[in-house]
Parts: sequence; C-alpha cells; structure tokens
Amino acid sequence: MKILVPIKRVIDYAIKIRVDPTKGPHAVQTANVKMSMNPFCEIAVEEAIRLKEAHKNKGDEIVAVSIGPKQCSETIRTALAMGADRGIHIETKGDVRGDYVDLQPWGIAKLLKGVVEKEENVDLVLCGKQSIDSDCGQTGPLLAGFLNAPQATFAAKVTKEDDGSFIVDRETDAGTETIKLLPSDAPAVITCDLRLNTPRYPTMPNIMKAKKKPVQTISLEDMVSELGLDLDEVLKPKNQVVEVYEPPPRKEGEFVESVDELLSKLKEKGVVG
Amino acid sequence: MRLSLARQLHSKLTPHASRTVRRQYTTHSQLPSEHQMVYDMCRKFADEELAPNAAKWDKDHSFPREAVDKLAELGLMGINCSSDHNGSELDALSYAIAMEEISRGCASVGVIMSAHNSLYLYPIDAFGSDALKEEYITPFTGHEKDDKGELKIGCFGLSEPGNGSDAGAASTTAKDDGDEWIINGTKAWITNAHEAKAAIRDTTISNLECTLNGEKRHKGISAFVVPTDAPGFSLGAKEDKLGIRASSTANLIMDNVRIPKSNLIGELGQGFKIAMQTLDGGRIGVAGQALGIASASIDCAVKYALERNAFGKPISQLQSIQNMISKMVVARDSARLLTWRAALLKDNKEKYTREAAMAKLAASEAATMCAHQAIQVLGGMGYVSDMPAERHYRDARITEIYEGTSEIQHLVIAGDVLKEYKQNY
Repeated sequence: MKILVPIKRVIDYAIKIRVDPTKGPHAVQTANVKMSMNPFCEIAVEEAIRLKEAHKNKGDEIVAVSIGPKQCSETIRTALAMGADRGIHIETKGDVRGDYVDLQPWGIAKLLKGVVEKEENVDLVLCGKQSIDSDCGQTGPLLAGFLNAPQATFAAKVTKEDDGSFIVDRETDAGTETIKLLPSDAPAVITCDLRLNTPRYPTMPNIMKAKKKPVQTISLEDMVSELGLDLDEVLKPKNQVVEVYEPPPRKEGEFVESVDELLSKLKEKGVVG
Repeated sequence: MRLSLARQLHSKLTPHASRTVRRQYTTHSQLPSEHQMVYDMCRKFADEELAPNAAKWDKDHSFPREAVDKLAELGLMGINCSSDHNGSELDALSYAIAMEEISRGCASVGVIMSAHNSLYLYPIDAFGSDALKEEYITPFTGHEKDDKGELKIGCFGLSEPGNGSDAGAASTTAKDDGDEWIINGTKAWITNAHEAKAAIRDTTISNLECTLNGEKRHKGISAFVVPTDAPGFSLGAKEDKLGIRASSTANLIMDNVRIPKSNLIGELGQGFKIAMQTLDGGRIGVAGQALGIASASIDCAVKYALERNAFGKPISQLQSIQNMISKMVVARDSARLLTWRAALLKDNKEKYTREAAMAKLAASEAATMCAHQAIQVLGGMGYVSDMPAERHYRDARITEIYEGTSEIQHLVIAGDVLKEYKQNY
C-alpha cells in the first residue's frame, strides 16, 4: 500500500498571532515566529503510520510531501522521524508572491494531483482537514475532484478492508456518519479531524534514522514544467483575502443581582428564547 | 612580554585550526535539524507528560514509573549508546539539550535519566568488555523489561558514608576468590538505588599490604558491575530529601556479595580513572539538569510578572522585576553556552574536563540563583506549593552538591589552569 501525506508548515498553534500591517492588508508577522507541522497534518502522518503498522508493514510506503520554502525540509524530517519512509519537497522561493502562504488550495491541489500521477500506484492520500493558518479546508476536496477520487472528510476513524476499500467515520455538526470508500483507479482521499488519533512523539532512534531517509527536493518551477502545468495558473489566487484583523479585546462582564435579572439579561441579548 | 604571550597563544591555537571540527552552536535556531528535533520532542514530552505531574510526584516522593517507561520508549534511557546495544546513538550535545528540556518539566525525572545514562551506562560502554556490554548495556537501554515488568535501570556507587569529595579514600573492598570477587562495604547517596537492577561500584582491592599514601589509594581502586539481586546485596532506607524527591536516594549495602571475575570493568586499578572520566560526562548531564531548573524558574517568574498587577500595572513593568529577570536570563544563557561548549568538545573527542567542570559550576549556581529570584518575583505565591517556584528552589539546591561539589569543580578548573600555565610559561 502506498500512502501519500501532504503536510504543511504553519505558525505553531501555541503562538499568539500578530497582524503585520506593513505586509499588506492580509498579512501576519512571520519573522522569528516558531513554525511547526500543521496539527491536522500531524494527525494524518500518525494515521498513515498506524495503517502501515496494522497492515504488518507488508512493504507499505508512506511518502510525505510538502510545498514551501527551504525550511519545509525540517517539517518533512519530522514526518520521517515519526515513521514516514520518504519525502518530496517542492521548494518555493521567497519571491513567489512574496510569501508562500499565497499559494492557495487550488494551486496546491493541482500540484498534488501531479505528484499522485507521477508517483503511480498511490492507494490513499491522507491529509489534514484544514490548515490552521488559512483554515480553507479546500485542498483535500479539490484534490479528490481533480483525481475523480472517492473522498471522505473530517475522519474520526479509518479502517482498511481486505478488498481495498476504506471505512471512514466522519464527524459532522449533525453527528457521526460512516462512509465506505470503494476501491477505484484513483487513490482514496481522506481528510483527518482532531479526534482521529493522538500523534506520537518521534523517538530518538527514529530521529537518527530520519537523517538517512531519502528526500527529493525539486523547485516549484521545475515541478510545474515536469507536470505540464502553467506556473501562473498554479499561482493565480482563486480566493482573495479581504482583511485580516485581531479579534477585539474581551469586554468586561456585568454583575447581576439575582437569577431573574440574569435570565432577563440573557433574553435581552437574544441568547435565550 | 605581551607580544610573546600572544605568539604563544597563537601557536597553541593553530594546530587545532587546521582540523575539521564541528562548529559551536550558540542558539537553538542554529542547531542542525536532528538536534532541533530532539529539542522539540523533549520539550513537548516535558510539557505534556512531566510538568503537569511533577508537583504530585514531589509531594508523594513517588518514583514516576509510567513517565520513565515512556521516556525509555522514546530512547532517552540509552541516549549515547550505539545501536548495536539498542541505544539511540546520539551525541553529547543532544544529551545536554534533552537533559535541559526534560528537567524543565521535572527535575527528578532529569536526575533519573542522567544517573542512568552518564553514570551507569557510560563507564561500561567506555571501558567494559564486549561480554559485559551485552549483559549490562543492551538490556538496560530502556527497551527491555524484567520478569516483574520493570524497566532495567542502573546506578553508580562512588560515595561512601566515610567519603564523598575524597573519592580516593574508598573503603569498600573486593577480595579475589578464584572465579569470583567478594564485595563488602556500603555506598551512600546513590540515585536510583531503589529501582536499579545493577550497580557500578568503585571498590578497593583488598590487599593485605595496602598502604594509605596518596598514590597507592587511587591506584588501588577498581570498578565492578554488581547485579542488585545478588545475595548479600541490600538497600538502605530511602533518604528524605529537600528536593528531587521523586527519585530514590539510598545506601547500597554489600555483605559478602559474590560477582563473577568478568564483572570487572576495564583493568585492575583503573577504577579511579574510570570514575573521573565518568564524572566529566556526568557533569554535562547535571549542567543540563540545572539549566532545566533555571529555565523553569525563569518561565514561572516571567509569566507571573506579566499577569500580576501592583501599583496599577503588571509588575513586569517595574524596574526591580526587570532587573531580576535580566539577571536570571544572563546567568542561564551563559551557563548554557558553557554546557554546549563542553558537549561539543566531548563530541569532537577533545579534552573537556575543565570545560565540563565550568559548565556544571556555572549551571548549578545559575539554577539556585534563578530559583531564588523566581520566588522573589512571585512574592508570597512563591512560598506556597500552588506555584512551582518553591519546588524549583528545593530541586536546584542539590545541583551544587552532587557529581562534584562546587568546591571540587573549582579545584578541577584551577588545577587544569595551573597545569596549563606551568607547561607553557
């Protein structure tokens, strides 16, 4: 079984984001800010490793792919240290629209489709449901659309059947639904949600082994021409960020004298019917 | 006079300049990716598994078995050993970084880790026979459990009730009895005593003609590995310590304990040298632990200062508090640079005795200073167990005492400096 796991390097989830007005109307401070693998991508890597382990490692291969600047190689190394077998780094330069965050789901999905086809025999693409910076949640579904692939999003449980189909429990606002992804020519595309698993710590021996695992680095321009795509088309934004602003500071609460007063205030604010 | 000094210093430096040596890393951002991963992993583990439980383990004086098991799964209980023996094969710098981050979460887990890695595994790895390594390293790198389902941990017995700093005055004896050694005596202040499955002890060979002049004392000491389930081996009661309470510290008592001849580490009479070399590496580990305690104290103090209001604003805006914070960070960062320097010298296979002593001295003093200042920043809150500052204060104190008291570190450093001057000027 060959599993492709796209991973994104984002601002670490614990960092307080600061808007940077000097970088245009939709930019945040990234200088000297701690970057890490997107938490949902980490969950995807973990799930891939668990599937491989459950399959008793019968020659399964997990390929981690990342698109971004030089430092993405560190993110790929972390995936390798967790247990992925090989990495592909599509390297973007700083002058690609000035900030690789501008590379949007449409372009990413096009590139990933190319990678899937180039790799051949990919059985499954596991990705995070969304990234914690742009929060679009579009890359997975777009990729499935381009590949004409069976897809399930917001996975909270994934099992592989012997016939090659995947059973996925999806968490939605209305409850959990179970979907069976039938085997097809295209790989199944599953996006991972928070409760799917708890990612493992990379162990020391695996950190050492990760150094020796192969990572192929290719520039964005070279990859685009290899895949027969158009660079401008890949980079053209389909979403436009209108504004980015920090949430307003929390307002002070009000003291009330009695439960009745509390209820009337809540009704006033339309919180209670 | 000055010119000649410069020339002599220059000629001392040039032989090194032509060799390829690993560069000194001075900040976390400069670290190569594998060290970054070690840092990230240990830090995350400490934040998630150690820090939330450290207060409870300290209060109960309880050995954090589950956490140590997890630590072992991550490969941190055999961190420098070769993969031939199931070790993680990482270098001294990774060890120093791992020690700091783990100790930042819980100083007790830090000492459990450092005693096992530096004091137990290292001497066998560096001086032991292949057979000894197979028996006493491979099962002890954290990936095997014994019949009781317990991890195999080791300890190191150098100090005795009658001698701590005076290591050459060891009075535990080993008597040659044909195929076996018979060990008698007591070792004191041994970390991991209650959990260890094997102990290294430095004992003298009982020699009827043994005299007590200086040279004979040191040359009469040899190192052995003793399994703790051997008949005649018993433990003293657990000491009731001021800090690092989750780790066990006790006497090891040997009453006619028999061990095979092959349990000798290295050669007869090599024990003192083995102990000193072991302590050099151990000092890097303890420096790491002290840095972790200092860092935890700084984190505690700064976070508190940003939130605590007095005189109409957060106390972080007051100069007194800012002076304290600055002093703490300068002390901690300086000690960290000294520690990383010692680690890199060790990794480059250069002599590092002086530098390791300097690192341990600086880091332990930084730990006690930072912990002290953290309580001062927190005021009353620093004195109660609701905040971790009081635990850091108690944990920090031991770092100036074990693995060579600060006074011994001064002797080691000054001795080396004087030797250098005598040789060269």
